[in-house]
Amino acid sequence: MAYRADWSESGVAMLGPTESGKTTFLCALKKALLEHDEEWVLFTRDAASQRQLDEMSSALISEGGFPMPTRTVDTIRWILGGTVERRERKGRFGGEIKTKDQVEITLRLTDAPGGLGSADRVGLSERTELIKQLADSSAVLYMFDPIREFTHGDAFERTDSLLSELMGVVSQEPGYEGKLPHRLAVCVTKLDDPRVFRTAHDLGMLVPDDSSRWGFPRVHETDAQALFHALGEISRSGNGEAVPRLLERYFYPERISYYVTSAVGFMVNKHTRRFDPRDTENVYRTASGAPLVRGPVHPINVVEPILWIIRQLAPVT
Amino acid sequence: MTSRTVPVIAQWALEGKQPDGEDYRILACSTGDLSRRHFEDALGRFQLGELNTLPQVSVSYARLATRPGSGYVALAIHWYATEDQRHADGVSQRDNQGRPTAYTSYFCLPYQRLADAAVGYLAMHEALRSVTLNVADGPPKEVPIAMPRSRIPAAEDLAVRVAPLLLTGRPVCVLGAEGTSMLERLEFIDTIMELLPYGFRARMTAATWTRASNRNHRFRLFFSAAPRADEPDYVVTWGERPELVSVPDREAGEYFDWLQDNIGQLARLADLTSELGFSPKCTLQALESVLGVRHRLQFRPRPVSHVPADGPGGPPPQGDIGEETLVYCAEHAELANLTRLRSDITFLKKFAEGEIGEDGRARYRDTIARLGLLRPGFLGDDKYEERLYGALLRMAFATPLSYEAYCRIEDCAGVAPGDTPHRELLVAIAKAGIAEPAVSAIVYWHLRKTDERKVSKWLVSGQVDAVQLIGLLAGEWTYPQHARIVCDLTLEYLKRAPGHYQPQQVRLALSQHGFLARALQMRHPDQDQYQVHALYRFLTAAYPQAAATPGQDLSRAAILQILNGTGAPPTPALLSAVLMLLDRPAAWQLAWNAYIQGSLTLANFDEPTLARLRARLPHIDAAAINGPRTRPRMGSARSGGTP
Repeated sequence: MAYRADWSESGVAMLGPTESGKTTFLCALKKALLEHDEEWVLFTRDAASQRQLDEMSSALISEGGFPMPTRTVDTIRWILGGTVERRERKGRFGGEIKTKDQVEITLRLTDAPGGLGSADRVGLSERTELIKQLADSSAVLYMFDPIREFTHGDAFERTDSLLSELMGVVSQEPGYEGKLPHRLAVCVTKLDDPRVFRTAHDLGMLVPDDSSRWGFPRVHETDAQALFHALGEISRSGNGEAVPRLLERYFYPERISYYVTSAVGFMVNKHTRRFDPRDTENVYRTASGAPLVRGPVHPINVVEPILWIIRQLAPVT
Repeated sequence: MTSRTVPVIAQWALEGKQPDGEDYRILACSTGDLSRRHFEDALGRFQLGELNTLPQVSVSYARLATRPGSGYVALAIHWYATEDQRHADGVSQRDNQGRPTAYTSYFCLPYQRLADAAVGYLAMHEALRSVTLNVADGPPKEVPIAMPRSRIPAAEDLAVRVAPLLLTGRPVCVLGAEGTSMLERLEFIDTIMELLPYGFRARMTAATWTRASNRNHRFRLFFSAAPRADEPDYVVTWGERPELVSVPDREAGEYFDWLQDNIGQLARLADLTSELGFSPKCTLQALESVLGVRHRLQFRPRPVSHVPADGPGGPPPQGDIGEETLVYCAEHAELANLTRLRSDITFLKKFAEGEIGEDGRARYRDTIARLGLLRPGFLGDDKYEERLYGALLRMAFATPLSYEAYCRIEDCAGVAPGDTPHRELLVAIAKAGIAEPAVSAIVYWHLRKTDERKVSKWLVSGQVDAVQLIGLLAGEWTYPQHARIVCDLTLEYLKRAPGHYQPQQVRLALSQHGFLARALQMRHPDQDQYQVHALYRFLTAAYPQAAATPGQDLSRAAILQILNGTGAPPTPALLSAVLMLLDRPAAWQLAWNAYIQGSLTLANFDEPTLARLRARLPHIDAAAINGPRTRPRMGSARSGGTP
């Protein structure tokens, strides 16, 4: 098995409004990798990133607390180590054989305050920094929070503001062909929230996840886009339904993939140790309104978008 | 005791979240020159990142582009609203998602006002922390800030090292300070700024804590839990031995030396802890303790001079700082006080850049010689020696160095003329710049002993001019030893770099100076063998084909030119050298005849004597001079002409 330490470095920027779960997603990544079938490990090589990894992982998993709202454009480098399979032709007339490479992929993750998407932030140094990081990234993890869209309805406005400014920067780069060149993983978050869960259920999009020890259902990737559309339609502002079109307008549609996720996963019934469709939410709020994780964290579809991005950006072998 | 305060108008802004809001915003601000947009931009530039532990303080600055010169020092207090800690009224502890809200009380104070009173960050914080803001715009606030008690900065080893680091322009990250309080860290920042000119506060940015993943912040000095990746920050660790903090050379190093010399001396008073009373004995003891660490070398009495007191070599003018520093140099070298020595050297370098008269240089040379500053192993540290020599050469000998200056260097260094100075001095001479080729030749000849490659490189560098060197060798020299060196180096050049000169030019130059025969004879009268050796090699270079081709003699014309055609009588050594290049008896005869003719006709005889001698001189057949140049050799297919 070959070992390729410097397989790829991918800049991945997190996008989404305030409290859409960008940082929480990162907090859950380590646990999600542990629960994933493929044997990927997450580690770092610089002290700042290691500290973030430790803090983020323990905050959500051990302490049951959600991360503090992000105040600055944070950049961390996390390294994913794992195995990738590739096909190799043997000889001139030989057939293909499968070989496995042990690889490392460095994820340069940019996490920024969701408020920077607001149009009145244009020109401020933090917003400029975010646009720069976005332009330097190869992929975007876009967090669409259906609950927030239902209560605030500002996803379209903020996303449009950021993407149009980003387009202004990217369009000046050589090779620009009319759209943003990034890979885009759209994550419809908070599947464990009963309102999201019910919508997915009512639309018949929930299927059993055979690999789940706790009997979790999931929304298959083929239905994720439809759910995204459906949830957009119940936006408070009425603009939510335009968000999918907005994304397809700015990015190449063939470079977009959709996922329905929950960083904390569904609540597992403490007695049956099984998923209970009547009690899905794994978050509760204290009297002061502070959110806390109710039970063990079993992230849903947190690894998948990351691995999709990695495979999209992998060098052709 | 702080007894006085200075009133300062503070423009302010309060950043946080509204009770029903979720994004951080300017909740309220003052209605002064700085607008809400100014505050938004400034606060965006200097964010700490989300932190679990508040309060923290950051300092930065603000300027109004429309009003040059109206700068502000900004101090931000980052805080969580709790029951007992509240810097603003009307704010809620949590946002609409129940998450704790961090607030920032941001104040901009006019720089000039603070500078006039030399107000530090601690005093600013002390005054501003008690200001309670409202969630409503309002006028700027007048804040009384305590003026400093003393302007003598407290020295702390780590601060003394970090302050110069800031002068490099690279940020400094302090790790390992988790156990300290915010006030301790702010005090540290203040201490560092006290060790720098106050004016730096106009553009200083610092934070008592930053989030490690907040990589793009603009703080020049900051505390953190981990270093920023990919940033060129200096990283120092709180609580580690300060000596581990390495201060780079150049300006930062010089500033560090200056701090050590000036602040360090006072700081060391605290280390003198033996109990003392105020008796005369104790006073003396204290004085000894303070001064004893640096006994001063005394000037020895100057020798009685025959020149007037104000002429060269006379007593130094009172308070000649250059001479004093030379003495300090010797003193600090003796005490192995490298820090102060470095400071002395730095001063000498700067001093030497100024205008120094010849009288001053003469005095400095005298002092350098007396103190032995150029003697080998004086410092015992190559790095310092090179720097010291560089400064001394410039100061006392004037650079680029002339031959006269080189002779003086030998004299000051106690090196006999022509002997090899120690390597560090030679390197310093080479680096200082050389004005005359004779000095280059001497220095590179000496360097050959320790760095053959360097000399080889120089010989083929195109900087060596054989014609010029021959001209120099024909001239007068203060010391024949130097001429010998230059002669040897010229011969080495002629031998090793034949592609870098034209034999015809060498021949012409030698011919113009009697082939150097008389110069060599006069300079080395007792070294006949050396004369022959040198002249033979000069002729070999000037007539390469004859020398290199077996059986090919010098032409008749060349023999006559060398021995009877230069205007100066030939010497026995020159005849010997010519004969060594001749194979044929007929050529020998011609050389003998030419030598006799040259010796007698070119000597400084009067006309009657010459007239009597002419008839008795051997006959030289003029026609034969232009005859066939070569003689056929048996078995040789080659033929050609000698030059």
